[in-house]
Amino acid sequence: MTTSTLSEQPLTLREQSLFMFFWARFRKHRMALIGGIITIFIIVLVVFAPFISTDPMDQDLMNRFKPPSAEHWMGTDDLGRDMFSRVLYGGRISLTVGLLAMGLSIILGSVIGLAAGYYGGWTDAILMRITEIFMSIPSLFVLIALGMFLRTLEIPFLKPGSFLPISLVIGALSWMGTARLVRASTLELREREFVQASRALGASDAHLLFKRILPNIASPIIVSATLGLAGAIISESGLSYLGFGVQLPTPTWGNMLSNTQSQMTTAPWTAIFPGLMIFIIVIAINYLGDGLRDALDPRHTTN
Amino acid sequence: MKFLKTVLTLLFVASIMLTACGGSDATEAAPEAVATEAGSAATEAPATEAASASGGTVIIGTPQEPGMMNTLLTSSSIEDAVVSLFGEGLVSVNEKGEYVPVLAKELPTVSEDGLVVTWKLLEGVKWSDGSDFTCDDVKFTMEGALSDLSQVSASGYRDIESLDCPDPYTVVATFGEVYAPYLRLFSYTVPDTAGALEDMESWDMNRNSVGTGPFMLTEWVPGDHLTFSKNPYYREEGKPYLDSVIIKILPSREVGMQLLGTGEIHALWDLTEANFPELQQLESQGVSFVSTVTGENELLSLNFGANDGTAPADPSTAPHPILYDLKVRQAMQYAIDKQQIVDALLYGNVNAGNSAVPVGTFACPQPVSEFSLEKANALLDEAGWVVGADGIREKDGVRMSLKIATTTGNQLREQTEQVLAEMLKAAGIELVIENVPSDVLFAGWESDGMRDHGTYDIVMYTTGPSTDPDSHLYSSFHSSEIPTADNEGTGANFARYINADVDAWLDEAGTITDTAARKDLYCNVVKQVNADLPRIYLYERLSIMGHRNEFQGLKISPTFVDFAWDAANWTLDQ
Amino acid sequence: MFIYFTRRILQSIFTLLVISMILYGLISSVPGGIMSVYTERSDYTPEDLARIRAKFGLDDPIPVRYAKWLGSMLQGDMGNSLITKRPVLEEIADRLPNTLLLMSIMMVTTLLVAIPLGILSAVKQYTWFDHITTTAAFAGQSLPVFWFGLLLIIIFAVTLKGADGKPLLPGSGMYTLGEDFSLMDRIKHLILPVSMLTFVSAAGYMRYLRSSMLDVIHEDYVRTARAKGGSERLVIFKHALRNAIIPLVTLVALDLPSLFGGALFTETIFAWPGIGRLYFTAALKTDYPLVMAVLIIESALIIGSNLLVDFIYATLDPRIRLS
Repeated sequence: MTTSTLSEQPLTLREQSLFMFFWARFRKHRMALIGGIITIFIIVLVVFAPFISTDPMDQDLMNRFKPPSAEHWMGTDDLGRDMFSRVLYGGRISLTVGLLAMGLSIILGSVIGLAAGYYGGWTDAILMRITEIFMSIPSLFVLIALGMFLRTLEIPFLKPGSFLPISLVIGALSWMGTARLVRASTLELREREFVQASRALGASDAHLLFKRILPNIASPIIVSATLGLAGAIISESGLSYLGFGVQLPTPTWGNMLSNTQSQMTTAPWTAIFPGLMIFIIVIAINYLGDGLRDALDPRHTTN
Repeated sequence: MKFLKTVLTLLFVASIMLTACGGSDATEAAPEAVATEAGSAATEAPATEAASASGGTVIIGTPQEPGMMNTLLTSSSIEDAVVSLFGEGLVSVNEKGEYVPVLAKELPTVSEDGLVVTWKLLEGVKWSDGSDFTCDDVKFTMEGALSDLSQVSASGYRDIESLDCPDPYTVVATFGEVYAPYLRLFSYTVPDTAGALEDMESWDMNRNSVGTGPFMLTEWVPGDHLTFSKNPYYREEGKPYLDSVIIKILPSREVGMQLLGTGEIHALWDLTEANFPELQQLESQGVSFVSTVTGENELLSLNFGANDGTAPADPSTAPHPILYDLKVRQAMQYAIDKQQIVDALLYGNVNAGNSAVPVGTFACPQPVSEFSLEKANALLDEAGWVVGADGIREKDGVRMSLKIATTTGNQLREQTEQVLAEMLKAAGIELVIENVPSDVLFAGWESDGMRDHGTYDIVMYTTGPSTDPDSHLYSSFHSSEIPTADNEGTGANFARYINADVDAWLDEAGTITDTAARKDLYCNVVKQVNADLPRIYLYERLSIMGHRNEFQGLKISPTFVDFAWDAANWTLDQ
Repeated sequence: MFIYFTRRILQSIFTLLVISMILYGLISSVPGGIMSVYTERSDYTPEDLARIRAKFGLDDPIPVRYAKWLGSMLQGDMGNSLITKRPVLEEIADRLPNTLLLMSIMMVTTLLVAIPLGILSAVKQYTWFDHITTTAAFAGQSLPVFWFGLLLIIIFAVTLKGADGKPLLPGSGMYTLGEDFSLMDRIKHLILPVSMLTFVSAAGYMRYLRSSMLDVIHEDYVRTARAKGGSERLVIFKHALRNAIIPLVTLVALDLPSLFGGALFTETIFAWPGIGRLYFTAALKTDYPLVMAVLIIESALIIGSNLLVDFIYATLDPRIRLS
């Protein structure tokens, strides 16, 4: 699709606009690719944390607040613990929470959206009402209140204040966007010829849902999942920063930032690195998601 | 090209962030300037004459926000402290832990039978609204404490049969039975002009101060700060020296440390021993600290009874598989090097724990327990605990593994637990750390509190007597104060400690008023507790306030009065 | 139309009611931190504790408490704070101006930044200008907002110094204590928090505006207008902008609830005495009435803003109106 004469380069209008256009698309894919690579790199890094770094709980009170050095790549924190190890191990928790939360929200959203879109009628009305109710809940405030509650919750095999309840709660409050998206796509597909044809041939509901419709709404779900992951990571870190998420001393990128405000003059690296990691992975995921959206949905052409 | 630009843009952003790493260098220039200013100010003549250093506004930062100015309805320690800027009692406790008269001329006198206590009030004292302070106010205070709506403890007031005012400046209280800690009564006073008791929750006084103290509330910006100015009716001429005191509300203690260093606040409330490293770093910026031994200890409470929630009234019926044996407890204490904890984690600034009543009028300090790994191991061998393959002892199929719980989010406590775990491991005891938030740790019986129900092995927390040790020692060590289903979970004897001698001493001390005699009895209790070890005392707690050097005169009372003690004598070098 | 509006309003009220039930149940189940202050002190006997519990109304079962709460709320009484004993609405009213000040200034600066940038980068698509702005917008949307605040403090309130040797910008509070009112002082205190919020918020708005503009610019009617010979600027401002603004207006409408409760992180980092911090402290101390009040108000605002957007669309788009 050739574009307008809106740019101002010295090449001929047609030449440079075409060039710009394709270069932009290529660059975009490049950023998405880089985003994907960075994401995978970070995941690999945190998965192999035990092999790359030392014990994140190991305190060394003689060496508190040491700046980054050859021995401690990211310096040490207020208890002399190695920041690099804590950042890696913290990444494990942050990413686990992100993935679990995103997983739950995608599953919930897809199921609800599919059911609402496919069955219509009362099912749709009730499910959409529920969606609306959840969308009207002020999620940050509720997460804080729930966080108070979850800190004390005793689950077998898990310590209070562990990552599992937080993940489930974040997921339970973020499925609504996906549900709407899936519902819209389902509604549209329901009326398409190939679905009608299958139905005419006597296919069952389940068959239609899983074999015909679901594969075709995979792309919005994938994009939703990618961007949802970024959102979940930010939610967890914000919550943990406030003290309502995963409890110390288990590190997450969020709670590592909790008491750094007083250390900013003396040990700013304690505040910089955990936040930097959040920033990097979120921006990488966002670029990846953006690229995926372009790639998977041919109708989405702008920027 | 465009790709390069993206990378450059991101690098640019990254480089800004990395330049902040040089922050510590950039700030070094500033502290010198501030330090010399503070230094020269401190060498000027101390402010004993009102004229030389009067005036000025001191800003005190606190991360907790006071919401209530009525002593009868306070619900947090910051409120109690702030209220003490204008509210005073008949008798209070100074920074050394001693009882001193404030609105009373002298300490109260007690009759022969111990049932009648008489206070003589200072004359000519006025409330900040101009009315006179008399015995009627004291009577009203008592009624207020006893009313249904009050949130203060009615202990002691409940035992008063009648309170009379033979003249406006004499208070005579007649008790039904001897109330030994009578000195703690009327540590605060409420004016009888406050209003009707049933309207307590809507009293004007809840948002305004009415007190006999040196300051009064003149401005309140909720969420931000409270301003207290001079009380024109204050009884001492020329005091308070300061023009005003501002209580500034901060979002966190960390921000407070930051502002203390830059001088935006003059003092920071509620610091703990964990802040010593930061305070030392701020010394070069003109910051120091005052501290008071509070009389509390950071201690380990050991559960004598089974930890499965049976909550026995007598642990011998359901003993703890490991901790019921005295030898085990003794061994644990031998294995713990208390001085090492004090030196390494607290910079040697506190005393190692040694007594349930370490300071004050009833002080009974003891020698610190011995540290001896040999004795610890010997005792455990004697008790039949055999070292297993992994270095942890076993006996009758039970592994010597104990869970320790303390409040989450407290670095100093986490450090202490780590250190304790190392120390005990050397004796073959495994310590497993499972911390919970403070509202869980301190939950009461109805909320399935772990201490009350005995669902713990070791709990580490801070507690201690207020100025009078009676209620603390009784609820901690008397056998009737073991929380069970039968007594609805009353009491703080979480160790489930039963000792007939201790019961007898505590009972007797509660019936007499002679301070010296009571002191002896309590001392017996202290020594017995040190022998039987329901608690292991780790170190004595301090109440600490960081302040700028130009703010002088700060003293901390170990009671709820806290930093507001002696506020009339505060000065600010400007 | 009327029926549509009425139906929507009734639905919204129903939604709000259900939310209130869910939230109340949730909040009341949080173990009572407000009692722990008293249970810790040894001079409080069981009688004292029982008396205080009863006074706080913690003894009734939750459905009963909810019914009482709902009853008084419908009469306009949202209860009193358990800490200060004042009506929670007064507590909120005390802090509301501070949050409103911060958030409304942020709204304005966000639009002032996002609209020109969004339009320009759409118009100059594929140039380096577009490139830098979209990258910055991406960064803004990916930044953890509280970390960004900490960075701003490190740079401007700690590292960089002004001519007088003191930090360049204040890092906390609304104004300098103990001094008289000074507009300059207030503005200085607003700079960092507003910048932090604006950067993050403008990023989203800018991308949205840019993409709506691009959608419109490529539409046929714009090409027609251009072909008719109108100047570039005329084409853009008259046709494209007008149509791209409508989605922007709805975006702003949907953001209205943040005027009330959107500044929690900012207020925590910059010690701003607003609603966010009020809620945070109330949640920590389990001051149930205050927590419920903030939650319900915020939910009502969200529902209300959604209604508003529906109405805007219904008014502007006849297709919906007639369906």
